Amino acid sequence: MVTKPHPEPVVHASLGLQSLCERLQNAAGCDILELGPVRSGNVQFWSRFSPYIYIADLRSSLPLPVPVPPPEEDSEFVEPDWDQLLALPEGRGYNVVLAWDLLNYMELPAVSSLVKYLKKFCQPGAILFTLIFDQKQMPDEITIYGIADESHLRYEYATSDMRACPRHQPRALGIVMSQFRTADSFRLRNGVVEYLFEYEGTHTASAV
Amino acid sequence: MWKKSEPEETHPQPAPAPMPQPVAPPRSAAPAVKEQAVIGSTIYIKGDLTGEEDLSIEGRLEGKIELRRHSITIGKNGRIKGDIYGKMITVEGTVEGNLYGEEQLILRQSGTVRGNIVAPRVALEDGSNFKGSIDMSPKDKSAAAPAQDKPIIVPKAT
Repeated sequence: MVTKPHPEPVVHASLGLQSLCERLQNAAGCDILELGPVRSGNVQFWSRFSPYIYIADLRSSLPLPVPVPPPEEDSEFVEPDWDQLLALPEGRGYNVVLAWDLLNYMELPAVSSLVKYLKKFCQPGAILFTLIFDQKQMPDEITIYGIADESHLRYEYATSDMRACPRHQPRALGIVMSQFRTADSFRLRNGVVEYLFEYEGTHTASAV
Repeated sequence: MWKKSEPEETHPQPAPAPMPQPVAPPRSAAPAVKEQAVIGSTIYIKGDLTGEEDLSIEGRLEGKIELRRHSITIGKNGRIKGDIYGKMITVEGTVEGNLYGEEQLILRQSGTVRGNIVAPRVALEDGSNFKGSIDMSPKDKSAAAPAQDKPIIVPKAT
């Protein structure tokens, strides 16, 4: 189990990425919403699908973890201004959302808020790819994931510090991710569960 | 210990006469001379640019650059506010605007782009600063209306 981030990038198998790529082979188009930062190798990798990629890089604009008031307080959760944070172009529907490990740095209300917002930009059948840590501790900062090949990811840790992991459980995730069904999930040896959530909504953002 | 000097092709003394560029391609009768215009680091231009030669910009420009059949390089000191149309575009400096590369776009590690990229081949070096969209889809699809209508809102500089 990789519980302590390694200062050097580490390559791990990614059955989730493999599954995603297989789905894209048969997809009519490839409109990717990348919630992580720009990675040269990743753009190169996706180029085989002649994609449209929007790089939102939430890591650089969102205070993480997203602050959520403790349950004992009466104060309401203030939803982040996703319009401003993501600045997604209007009228574009995505069929792939790359969330990587972002959801681990959000409590469930924040995850729910983000997913609710993203639905407006998802095509029916869109896949949200995310890595959920299922261990007591996780890296203190979001990790950058480089695509090594169709079935391997390179974990590029930003820090060796650790923080408590929320350990989102499948059932809880299923509830907050309304209108998304778990299309695939893979429990990896490194304590990561890779999910492919499929959007079942009928809302169609008019793709360009 | 000292390495014996090997025969050198270049000499430290200044050349006595203008020498032909050793790497220059042989000239033919056709007008194949590769011209490149350079806008220096102290130059500030407000307005659109168009032309029929390669361009390198180290200065500041506010306006559209349209050299669809030529290479455009935004140097490390270059700062552009406006859309850029070129055959091959290389960004080492800063661009606030959309980039349309007929063949290729390269964003160097030192480069920053706030806008959208439309090009069939895109290379973004790790460490470069980019927020926006990349459209590598076939031209007939992208030419219709790339998603550049809404300006990119940058909540926080990175």
